[in-house]
Amino acid sequence: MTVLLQTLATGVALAGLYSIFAIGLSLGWGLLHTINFAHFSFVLLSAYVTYELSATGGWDPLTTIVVTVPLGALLGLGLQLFVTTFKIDVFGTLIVTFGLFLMFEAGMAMQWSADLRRIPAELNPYFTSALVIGPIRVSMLLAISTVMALVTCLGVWWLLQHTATGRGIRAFVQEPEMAAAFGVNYRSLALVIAGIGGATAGLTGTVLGMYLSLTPTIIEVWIAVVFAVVLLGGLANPIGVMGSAFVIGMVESVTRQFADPALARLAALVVLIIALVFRPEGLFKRLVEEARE
Amino acid sequence: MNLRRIFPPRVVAVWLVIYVALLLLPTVQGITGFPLYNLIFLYLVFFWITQATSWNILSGYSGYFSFGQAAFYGGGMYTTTILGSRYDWDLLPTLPVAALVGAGIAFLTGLLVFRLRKLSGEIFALFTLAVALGIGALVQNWRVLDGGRGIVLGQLDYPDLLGDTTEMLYYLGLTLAVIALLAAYVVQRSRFGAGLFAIRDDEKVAEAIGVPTFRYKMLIFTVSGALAAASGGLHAVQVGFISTDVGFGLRVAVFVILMSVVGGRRHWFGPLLGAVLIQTVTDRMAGAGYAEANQIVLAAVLIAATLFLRGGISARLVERPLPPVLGFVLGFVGTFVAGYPAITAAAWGMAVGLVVLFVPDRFLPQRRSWTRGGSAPGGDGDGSGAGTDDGIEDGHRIEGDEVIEPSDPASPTKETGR
Amino acid sequence: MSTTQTSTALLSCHGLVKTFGGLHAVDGVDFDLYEGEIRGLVGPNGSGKSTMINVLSGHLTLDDGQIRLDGVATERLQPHRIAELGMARTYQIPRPFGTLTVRENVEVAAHFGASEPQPDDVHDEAQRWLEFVGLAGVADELPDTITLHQRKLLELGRALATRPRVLFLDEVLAGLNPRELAHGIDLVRRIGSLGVSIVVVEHLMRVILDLCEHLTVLNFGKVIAQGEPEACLREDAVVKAYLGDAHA
Ligand SMILES: Nc1ncnc2c1ncn2[C@@H]1O[C@H](COP(=O)(O)OP(=O)(O)O)[C@@H](O)[C@H]1O
Ligand SMILES: [Mg+2]
Repeated sequence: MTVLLQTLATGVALAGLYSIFAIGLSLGWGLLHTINFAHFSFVLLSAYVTYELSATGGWDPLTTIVVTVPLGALLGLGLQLFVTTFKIDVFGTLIVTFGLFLMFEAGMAMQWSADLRRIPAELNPYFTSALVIGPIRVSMLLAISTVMALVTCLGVWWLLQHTATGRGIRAFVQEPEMAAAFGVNYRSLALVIAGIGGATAGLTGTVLGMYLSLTPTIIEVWIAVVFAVVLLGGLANPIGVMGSAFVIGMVESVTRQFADPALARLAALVVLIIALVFRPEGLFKRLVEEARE
Repeated sequence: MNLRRIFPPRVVAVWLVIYVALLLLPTVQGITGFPLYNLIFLYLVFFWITQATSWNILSGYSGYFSFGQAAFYGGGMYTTTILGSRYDWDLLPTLPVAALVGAGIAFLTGLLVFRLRKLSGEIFALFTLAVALGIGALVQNWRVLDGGRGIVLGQLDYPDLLGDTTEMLYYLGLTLAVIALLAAYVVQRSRFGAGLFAIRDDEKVAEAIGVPTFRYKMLIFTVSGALAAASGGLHAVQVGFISTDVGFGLRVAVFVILMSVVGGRRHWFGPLLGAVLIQTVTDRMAGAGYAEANQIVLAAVLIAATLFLRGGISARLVERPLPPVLGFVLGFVGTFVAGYPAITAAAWGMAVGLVVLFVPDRFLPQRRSWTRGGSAPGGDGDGSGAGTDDGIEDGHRIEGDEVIEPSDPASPTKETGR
Repeated sequence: MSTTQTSTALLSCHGLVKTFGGLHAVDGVDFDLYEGEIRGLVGPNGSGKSTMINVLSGHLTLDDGQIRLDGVATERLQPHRIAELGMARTYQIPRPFGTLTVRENVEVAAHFGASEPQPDDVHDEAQRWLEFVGLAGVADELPDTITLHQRKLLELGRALATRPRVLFLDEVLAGLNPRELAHGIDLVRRIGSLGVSIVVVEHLMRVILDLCEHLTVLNFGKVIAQGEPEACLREDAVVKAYLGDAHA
């Protein structure tokens, strides 16, 4: 029983991390037609910033979000401006942001070298302490990130469903001409979404900065699983992102608990492949259906 | 089949000369003793030509952009490594087996992805990435294959005829590159290629005019996987210590995409140009200790090429082969005579050639005479291959009598279309 | 209506049904087309004409019904197999292969298309159709540099290069100016005289009356009239469908 509960708790905690990582990508892809590979770079850069501020600057790592979140938002805005300026199509964004990803990777390698960077344990209470509820232990950090994820995803959901910005952007994705005729200003709404997406990257970066030993290439192992969450979640559907993050988090957690921990990531990929084969549109519906061809 | 149309004698002759010259190079090296490193360098060029071409016949021709090159490359690499190090196979027989493994992986992946009608290009790209990473994770965790510690590949036996290891790699690398290029060339000029191009532009319409899209995609995917895997198998010998990072990391995908996008995805020699160019630049930059700066530059080039250079270098070179080729030759000879190593000289030659290539048209009057003139001398390298090549498609219509018409008012508008 | 003649029809459809969600876009259509015929397929916007073509060409899978092309059941075949049997179509909004020249667009079609007759020389075959539709002059342009009219002609040329026995024209003549229209009508007639059976989907009644001896009128996915053009257009149901109840 305890084992089951523990497995569940770990799964939920992983789900939190995955959904906060994936939500920005999902928004960009579903609403802005930008498949942003550089999202991973934004996350890693923010992680390094968190590391730098707390390891050398002595900040409490969690407080670094006052820097990383605006930084992420700025990066997101910049990218969006770039994409609209050059009128890059979905596919183009995939390649262009892949190029950006490589540039960031090399840049970070120059700045921080290939050595492992980790916030010293004594400065990183969130990583070392655990939340203990009865027999269950969850890393404090993962607990915090799960709360962040919940707040973020629900907030985004609310924004899309219940605000003028959300209505405008959904109208635009569904019927661009109609929406434009009704005075929806896509460019500025898109900037809002891009900024939010970037901000979530900053948030994710701070969490990962506390969670991982950083190297310039560490983020590569996250690519597949995060894209799995995005694809299974149904694009731009915050609830779907949480749902698919939960499925994948649970698959990993169960594999870790009852099979070989090393197989956890593989299991997640297998879920993705199976899901794409049988439900290419994802496990969850897209929040906004696009106009038919 | 009209063989003369697929293989125009003049083109065949030019490429045969290049091929024979490259075949003789190790012997010449033995006699004249120029730096052995040049052979190693050329092997790497061949390797990348093979990889990029294998990627391009799938992704460039059919438009299905793959991020999963590593699945085949790494699959081949591990096949050769395991057969060679655990079962003491000779090198040569491992290569066809590696090709089969690559073909098998591609075939199964293809069955999965192409069965799905709804699968868009973006999803295909990410799906192939997931397959590559998934296979990597499998190999890493499965003791029978690797188990995460990597495998050292010792000396494998091969026929003495092939010389020492460097020469052997050189000859076999060249052979694989020739096979890959030949495949790309034949496909481009055949009905099969026409069908693939149609798929790339609009798959539904292609199907409606009678292109068996599923079969074609499966076939090209399988061939692409086989080539990549055979080349990966050979490369295992060069690498020596095989790990999942080497086999299934992002690096191969990065480079094949980069090379093909820069060189041009619509032409069989696009990846060749890209591979030569980027391997040369990378080699010089890494040699000088600028690996990171190199990555930044290459990534910037990738972005710029995607945004501004839709057809890649090859598209422009086909239009106007002679000036850039002359630029290359001048740059190369100039630096070489000045005493720089051959590869450095080649890098400078390429720099000059590229600058000339992108001189705006209005600074180069009489463009038509350049274009047509390109096929006439038929002397040197890639460029004239390009020139003649362009001439064939419409050769029997134009018949060269428009050659001397520099001031034809129709020519600028006609050719800027591309 | 013409069930007694089914055995001699080149294309014969029975009880075709295609639904999108709850919407019956094609709802129990019977339809026969004879060798050498030019048939008009008309109906208000959204009545299911394009969906009919998509179903017949295999783009959409049929929910119910049978299709026989010269006796061969095609309703489960992939589109390229249907094309090999000699069915071709154009698109309402032209869909040329964007990176191929006009000539290459037609050449690809000549490479594939009907399994017989096979062209002796794909290049010559393409050239023939380029001249036929009047695009030889722009053969080496890219599709996005030619006019809309020329793109529509390219649709035609590409379809013809597949050597069809049955050709569906989805509003190829819409949006043309009077001169282009006259040229278009003449072209369709010449295609008909080559022995190709043609289904013309068109809004302009003048074109339909000019070209077709037979008409099929669709409304809400159902055939509401079939036969002589003039007679069809006088039928109450047709008038109602086009003009609304008030005018009937
Ligand atoms: N792919 C599709 N998905 C859902 N509904 C469709 C689709 N294609 C057509 N429809 C609907 O089917 C009906 C018939 O459309 P269509 O065949 O295009 O009409 P027509 O060509 O006669 O104008 C319309 O109501 C249209 O909205
Ligand atoms: Mg229609």
